[in-house]
Amino acid sequence: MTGNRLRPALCIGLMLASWLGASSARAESTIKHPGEHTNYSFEAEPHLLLAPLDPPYNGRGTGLGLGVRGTIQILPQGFIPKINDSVGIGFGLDWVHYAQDDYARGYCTRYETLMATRVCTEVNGGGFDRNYFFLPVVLQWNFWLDRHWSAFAEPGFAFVFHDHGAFDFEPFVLYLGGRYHFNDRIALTLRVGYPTFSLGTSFLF
Amino acid sequence: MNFARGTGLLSLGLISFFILWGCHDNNCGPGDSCYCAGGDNCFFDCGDHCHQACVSLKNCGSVCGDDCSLDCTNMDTCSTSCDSHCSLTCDQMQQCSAICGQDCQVSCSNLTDCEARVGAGSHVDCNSLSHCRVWCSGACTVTCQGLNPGDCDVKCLDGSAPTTCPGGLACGACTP
Repeated sequence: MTGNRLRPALCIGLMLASWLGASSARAESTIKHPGEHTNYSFEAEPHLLLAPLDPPYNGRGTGLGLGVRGTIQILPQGFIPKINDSVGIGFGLDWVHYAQDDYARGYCTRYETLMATRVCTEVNGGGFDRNYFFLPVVLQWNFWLDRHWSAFAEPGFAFVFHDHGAFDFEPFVLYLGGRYHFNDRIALTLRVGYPTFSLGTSFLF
Repeated sequence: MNFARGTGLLSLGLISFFILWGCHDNNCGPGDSCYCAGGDNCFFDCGDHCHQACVSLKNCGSVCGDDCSLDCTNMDTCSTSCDSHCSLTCDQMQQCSAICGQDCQVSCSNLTDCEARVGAGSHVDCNSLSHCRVWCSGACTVTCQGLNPGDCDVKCLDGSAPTTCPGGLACGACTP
């Protein structure tokens, strides 16, 4: 089990390492020039989703999906006066489809009562697919590294809806990501976190 | 230049996707060990040769074929429904129950209710609990320790009266 839990963490580490490796190649750093970044008030970011880790609650497996993130910039010059940072509030809607294995963790759908106890005799894990909707609300802290690269951290919380009408609340979610800016208004955005990873395009308005 | 760097980033993203795709952990099937800790419910549909453990959650259960095991500790309820050569071990909980076929091994300790409907060649061990109820189809043995005599209840489904044995009851002979 320990190995099973370490494996996703190792994967995330590999991904971040490759990301940071690419970022280190940047030129003409702007990180020490506060305010020297695209002037925008809203970021719209449709994206593809990969959910490589087991989802919260009873789900299991790897998911794929689609989503969108909208971020309102609230502090064009962020928390640290001497660096080029900014802060926004982000709202997301992510749909993820998890395809279950034939043998999987699921819900008990039939019980047989003995006397004082009951025995689960049927589990809905076999071949069962599941859909999740994640609605994250995050604080997006941006770091404008140079003309083409920016990075961000997104702590927040999320509402979770999934099959069977269940509703849950995740009190803490965290995403880390980066953008490659093709120009002032369009960027390619990669985000890693739990429960979803995303690759999308940001449009800055 | 921009195109080249964008293409590089896209490649990184795709590589990362492939890395993560290869890293996913989605197996809990025949021959696997399945483990649940914390939370509310954990139920598995496991097939044959499934070995499951549950610790510190509310309800745990497994539905499986032959040669399965389930170990439960510190929870509300634990149950297994399986075919033959299965084992269920429950410790420190409220209720533990099993429906299984021949050569089933059930061990209950430090709980309130332990109930099992077992097949021929099975053995149920009840230790330090409030009620132990066993229904045997065929020959089986039951040991009861730390229970009031009336709280160790064995019924032989062939209609015969259970045999009183040292430390317990049996359907058929006292020794398997």
